[in-house]
Amino acid sequence: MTSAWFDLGLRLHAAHTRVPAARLAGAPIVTPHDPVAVRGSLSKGEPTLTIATRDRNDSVTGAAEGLALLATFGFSITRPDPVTVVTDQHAPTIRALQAVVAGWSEGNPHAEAAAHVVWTLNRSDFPHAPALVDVLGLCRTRYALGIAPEGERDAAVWRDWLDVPDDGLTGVLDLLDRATSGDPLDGLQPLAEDDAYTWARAATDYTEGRDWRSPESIARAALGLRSLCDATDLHATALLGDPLHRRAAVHSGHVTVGTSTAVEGRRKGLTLTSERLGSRLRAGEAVQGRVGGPMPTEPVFTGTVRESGVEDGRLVVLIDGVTGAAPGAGETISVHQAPPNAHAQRRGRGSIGRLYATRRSWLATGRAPKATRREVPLDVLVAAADTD
Amino acid sequence: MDPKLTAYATVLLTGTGTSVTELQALTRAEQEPDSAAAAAVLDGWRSAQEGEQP
Repeated sequence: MTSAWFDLGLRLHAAHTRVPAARLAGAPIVTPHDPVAVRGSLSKGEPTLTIATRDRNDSVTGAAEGLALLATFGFSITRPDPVTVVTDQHAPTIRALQAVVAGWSEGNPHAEAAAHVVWTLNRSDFPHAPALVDVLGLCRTRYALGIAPEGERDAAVWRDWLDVPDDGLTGVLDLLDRATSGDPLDGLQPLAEDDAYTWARAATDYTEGRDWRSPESIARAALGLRSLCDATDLHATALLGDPLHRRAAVHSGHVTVGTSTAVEGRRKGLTLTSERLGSRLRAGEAVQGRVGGPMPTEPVFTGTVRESGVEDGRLVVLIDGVTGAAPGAGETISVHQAPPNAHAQRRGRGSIGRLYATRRSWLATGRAPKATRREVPLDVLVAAADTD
Repeated sequence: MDPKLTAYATVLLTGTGTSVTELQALTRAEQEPDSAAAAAVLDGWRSAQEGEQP
């Protein structure tokens, strides 16, 4: 509940000052490549697309016409970097882009544009990936307004609060600029590298005829889901790299603040004792810690949670394997989950890919494997349940 | 203040013993809070003060 109260504090301040309250000090996505504003809609199965840059704005109806228009705005799988689609009408635009690609047929000269759109749609589920940016979602991640939360679904409200007078597609690009001002969060770099890798692979697939025109294999579908889970984990911990987000995360239990005590007989161990019982630290989890509250910039020590429990009404967390500048006894420390290792994630996906490619592996043969479990990030479950 | 925000805050504060009006006075005066709800709201208020302005 305290998360909601903390959020209310942001909103009351924004209402008092009439200035949006920052949820993040840094930009929640890497700087987008060549952003193009797009609004789409479907009427009786026929897509209409309106596309704009700062100096051009065009609109067409029809799948083939839409693909031709996208091509004139530079959509092509052969580009060195993808175009970033930015929209303030997320679900209708995705449906329109899907209809444009579904309308592609042999002989259409814009297969390269279609391959780009397919890559964009495939990456649109990834958390704040700069392939397709839901600019209102991005604004909500970056700022809280001095209104009730449901009002933040309205683009006009964001334009009003962020001082964007243009209600057309140029205004969408202005909203993007406001939501991405400043430097991107440091932890987003692995996500950008993953985007670049998948873009290069999509270009190769197109060249070799293994793109959306041929059925997707089970291995590819499985690796796609695994990539989405990995990206969601990376994004969640990238947000914890932001001091304002860490401050809010104290109230959701993602950051635990308490007092440090050295552990007798354990040279590299410490205990964290906290008055606040709500904590998401779990045994076996790698953590990062700071001396002081959640706001100081750099973590100064790392460790692994060995166990946690409640003693005398207080949370006690034993942290082992502490490296770095271990805090002294009695110091206030703040601890949260360490970012996953992006290289280890890639190795994990690589080994799954090899198992699918090996004819006698348990994956390829369908034999029941030894059970291993992992948690699916909540964002992935929510995205799967979303009917839009 | 936006009436919808007032209504939203009222729902959130139900049962905490703190009203929206008291909370607004508390945050503006930055007095020490006397409830968990007020402490969390004040923390959010201070975070907004320290945050980057668009």
